[in-house]
Amino acid sequence: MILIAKIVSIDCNLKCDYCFYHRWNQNSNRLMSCGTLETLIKEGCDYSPICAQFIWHGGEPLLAGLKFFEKIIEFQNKYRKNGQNIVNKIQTNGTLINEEWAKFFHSNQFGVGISLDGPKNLHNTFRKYPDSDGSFDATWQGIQILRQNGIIPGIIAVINSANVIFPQEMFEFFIDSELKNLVFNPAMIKDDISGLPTGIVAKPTDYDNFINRIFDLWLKKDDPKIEIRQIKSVVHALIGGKYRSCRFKSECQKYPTIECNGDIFSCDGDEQNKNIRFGNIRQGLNHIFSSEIYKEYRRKIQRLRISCLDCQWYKICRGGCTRDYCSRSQELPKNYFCEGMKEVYQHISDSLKYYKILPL
Amino acid sequence: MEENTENEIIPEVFLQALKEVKNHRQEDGWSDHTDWGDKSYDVWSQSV
Repeated sequence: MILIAKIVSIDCNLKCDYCFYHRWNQNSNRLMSCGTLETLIKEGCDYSPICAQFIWHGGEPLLAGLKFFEKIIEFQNKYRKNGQNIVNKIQTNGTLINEEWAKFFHSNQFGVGISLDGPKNLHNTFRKYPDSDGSFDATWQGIQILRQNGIIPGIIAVINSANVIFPQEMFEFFIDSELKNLVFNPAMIKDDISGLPTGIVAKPTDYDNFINRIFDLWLKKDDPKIEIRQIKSVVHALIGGKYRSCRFKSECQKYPTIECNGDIFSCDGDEQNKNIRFGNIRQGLNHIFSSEIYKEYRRKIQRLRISCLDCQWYKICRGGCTRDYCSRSQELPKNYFCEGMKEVYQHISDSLKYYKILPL
Repeated sequence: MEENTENEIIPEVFLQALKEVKNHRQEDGWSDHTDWGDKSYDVWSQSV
């Protein structure tokens, strides 16, 4: 179980055009209380006595301040069990990182993920401050400070209608910058009225061309230190491994989101299920994960994929990410990227057959 | 699909994937909510 904590709720110092949080009508200037944080960490440590995993998320989690993060370590030391591993990961836009943050992350072994959408011109297309200034320079500075302190961050790039047509530029930018742990998540923001993806979202054919091209470049470069999550997940699944990426696991219930008041929801990327509240951390994780509403959510995730069961690729993608499902009214929701991703699975499968790793 | 008549050697990235699958190092899986980078921090123990 991985607990995803939105410690400042959806508050952020940026206002990216594709961020679905802007449409959520919530108050700002919120911070998880010390009491809720302590309960969250105690529950997380109790529920996973061998390895407790926390993802500190937002909004922009660094808005919580360094003292809040020092509390995290204090509580984890208090509730850590004998022999228990505790893993902390943070996903940040990087703009607020300074020497103090970098030293903290390094000394406390935080895994750091940065949101970076490619080179400056592509990143700044949608990732902006509220005054519309691009955020690339501040993010880039944050990455350099991390590096100077011995941290090589992973990167999540949101693939959208602007950068999807530049796979080679994107790949070369990241690899030339020695950023070799990459995730290429497609943007997904839906029109309130039609329920369909807006113009910021990459077209499925463009997204599959992007991933296929990235795969070809990855194979040509042939550097095992380059980890591209979607590609490696598909390769692993095709050769009989387990599913690495949550988007290919169909187990959304295993990634609950904890709001700053302790309320526990289904994955917050799953916009159509954003109102599914499992309970509050104070009720205890054992109680929540055995509740009927939690079990029903699990069944709902499975039902959504019922039309996928006959697909030859179902064993690889398990229906993909739930947030990518959309429909016109009266139609059953379908994964927007499904048809395009089938091309990706075929392309990677063909390559594995070419090298006789898979039978012809 | 083109045929590999020259018996080209298997790329390192595929060999690495085969090795990882064989060693079952990916039991925990990943969440696409973050990419935490440097794997020296990574913990591959089984989730509970």
